[in-house]
Amino acid sequence: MRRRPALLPAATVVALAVLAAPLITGNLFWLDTSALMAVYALLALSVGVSFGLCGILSVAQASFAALGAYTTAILSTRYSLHPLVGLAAAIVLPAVFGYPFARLIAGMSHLALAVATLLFGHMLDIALREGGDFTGGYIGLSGLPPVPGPDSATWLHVASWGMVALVAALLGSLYASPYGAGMRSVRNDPMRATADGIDIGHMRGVALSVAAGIAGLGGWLYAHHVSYLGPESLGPAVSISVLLMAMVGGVSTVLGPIVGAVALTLLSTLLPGAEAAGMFYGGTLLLVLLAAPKGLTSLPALAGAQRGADAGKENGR
Amino acid sequence: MTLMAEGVTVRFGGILALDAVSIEVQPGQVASVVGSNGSGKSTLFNAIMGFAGLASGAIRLDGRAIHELPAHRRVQLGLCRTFQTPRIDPESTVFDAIRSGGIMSLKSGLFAACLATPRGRSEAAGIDHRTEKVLEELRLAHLALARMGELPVGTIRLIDVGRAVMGKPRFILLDEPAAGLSHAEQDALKAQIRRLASEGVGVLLVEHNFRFVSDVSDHLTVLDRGRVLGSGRPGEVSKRPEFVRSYLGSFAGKASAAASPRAADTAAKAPAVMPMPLMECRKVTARYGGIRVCFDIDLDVPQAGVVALLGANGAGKSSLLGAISGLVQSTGSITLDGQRIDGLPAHRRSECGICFVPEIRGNIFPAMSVAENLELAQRRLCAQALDRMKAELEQMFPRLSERRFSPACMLSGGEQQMLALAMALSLKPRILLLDEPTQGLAPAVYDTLEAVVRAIVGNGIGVVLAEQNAAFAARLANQVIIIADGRVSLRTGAEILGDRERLLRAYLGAEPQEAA
Repeated sequence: MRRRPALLPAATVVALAVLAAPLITGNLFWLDTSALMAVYALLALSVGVSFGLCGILSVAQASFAALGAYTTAILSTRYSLHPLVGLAAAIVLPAVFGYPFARLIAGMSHLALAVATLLFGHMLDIALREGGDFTGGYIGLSGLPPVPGPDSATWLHVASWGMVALVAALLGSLYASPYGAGMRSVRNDPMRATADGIDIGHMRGVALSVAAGIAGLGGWLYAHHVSYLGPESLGPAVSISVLLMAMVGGVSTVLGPIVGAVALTLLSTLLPGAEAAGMFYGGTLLLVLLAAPKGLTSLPALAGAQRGADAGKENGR
Repeated sequence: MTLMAEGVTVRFGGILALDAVSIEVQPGQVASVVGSNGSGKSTLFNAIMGFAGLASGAIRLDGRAIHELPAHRRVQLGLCRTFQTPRIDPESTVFDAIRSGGIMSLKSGLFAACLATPRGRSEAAGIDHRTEKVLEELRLAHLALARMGELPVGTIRLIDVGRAVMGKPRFILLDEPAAGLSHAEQDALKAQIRRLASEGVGVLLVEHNFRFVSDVSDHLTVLDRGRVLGSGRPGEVSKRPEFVRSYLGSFAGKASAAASPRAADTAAKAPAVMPMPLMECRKVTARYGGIRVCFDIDLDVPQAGVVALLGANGAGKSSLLGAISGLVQSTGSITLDGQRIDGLPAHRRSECGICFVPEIRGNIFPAMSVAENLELAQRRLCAQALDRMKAELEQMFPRLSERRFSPACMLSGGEQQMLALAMALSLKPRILLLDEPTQGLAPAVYDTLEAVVRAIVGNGIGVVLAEQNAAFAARLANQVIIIADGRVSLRTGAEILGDRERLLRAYLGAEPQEAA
């Protein structure tokens, strides 16, 4: 009873991806944009799990992605392993790292925790630059094999959004489950959650671990799509923009971060004015956050509430 | 099969919050802890549950020491608590809120949740089913989809109890569950507590509402400043003088003073029909978010008169003063000298002449000197008015001039109260709201305080005096309003203060409610 519709977000993603397919097939620019959008969607979903579901304000999502991306890049270029081996490693390594990292820092206040994750991003950045031949240093790693599958740009579209839909399906079940409700209560009120018998340290560890795994998947997709990886590719700036995407779309729902990623990527692609584009981008962001503080996906509910309030007024008259 | 706290001592820095407190709850028993604000009741709860560390002593469940375990482990072992201020997510539905209490019983983990495995789903369905059952038991099934933020506090507290029950606790700790509840809601809560006890759950209750406590408890422990003052059956404990003193302030100890000719005097002096009031409050309801703490209170304050608000701790006196001053959210109308002020923010009301002196001298800045504190309060006065004000205050509070360079925190309680009043008067108030000015003061200071308040009234200022100490209020009041459970339980002249029996009944909320 009263289940959240667990598979609705995934179904929406599939439907939109299918609808978009004929529009962009044959247009390499849009196919490329579509794959990048999917990468951002995965990173924004990762923000959704850590911050939206469990309340860990992490600004290291791109760094987790970089961890995954470099893992698969090193495995496939240095050791000539198949990208699918890299896929497993790119998810598992950040996830395994995420749990102890969260247990270490999750007791901090929001701001201190955000700073700690930002510092982690910078440390990783330096490590990648100073990693010599192993990480490719400042030059980075190039010549990565493409995403496995048929050699067609449309396949890339299908594969990337398939991944997003799969993650959305898994998260949809998680968000609808009592286990997800436990994570949500850790976000809302840690003391209350403790009084409900929930081990909040463990929950935060699990949430960040899942988030890091999803980011790692995003990193894998990025690495094999772009086929080049440098320290700048998935740096702290990306962490901040995916955080914004998740906030704009609606951080506490499954669909929200995906909508945010699509909307903001479209916005930055379509906005006029080259040099001044950043200004329009910032202004639009500000407007969205003012009009819908809980994100774009909360707009229908907001409109519903408004209608309800109007109806109430009319009844009052 | 018992929950025991043995010689529990809790310190916060240098402050001894609990001093060797022992308490025991048996399954099926309702045990209560009463005591005034700051007596350590909530700290005791926190110590038992693991939210506060023990300096010494032990918490035992069935003989097993559990005070080293983290809080969530103790909950999993069968302890459960509610919070004094319900901790709710206003967006969540009632169903989800109650379901939260059952999450810890999940055996399946993350993968079952993500993959929606049959086992995970059947467990989830089991929790949902139990949630529905609890909703029905509480007669809240019709509210399952309502948002928590839209509900009155009584319902929220019931839901909180339901949430605790979801974990199938063996011992449940209820922190002031009856505060802010209507009588019907209190009855529903009592029924729920009794049913829990009859099912073999041990209930530990912290509560200000004495009538409620004596109705449901098998055993009562009185805490006073972190120590156990006494314990026993409720009927028996409530007769002991140390209880009455702790619970009602010095009212009982000074009952003779209340009946003194002075009180009768004041009563006689007070005109039977009040002149046109300076401030009128109509149907004032104070609320913290969705939680209402006092209901539909009417209050008239005359120019140059004292209205005493009496009532036990937690009755809603401070919240009412907060509502009048604009610091606490409220509904209802407040009119000062014919002008509506209830729409104004607190600082505008202060400019209109409403001046609030919070309890424990909350308007003074402890680290600043007496002179600095006064300068702050007097910053709006022009040079001439400033000189006049200083002379006036000097005459009224000679002691403050002597100590003008001491930090306020180094003053005695009495001196701090004088400073608080001097600061309030510096704002040239028309209405002065005094919240428990006698709190923590030695009776020796009462005379000075009384003289000062009389002088203030003599200057044409209307005073609302919220007091727990009925004897002190009796010396000054023209009119007495007794509040119990957030409602006016008795409205009368000062002569009531000589009638100890009736006063006690009104304090405990036993007087018939005022007709709406």
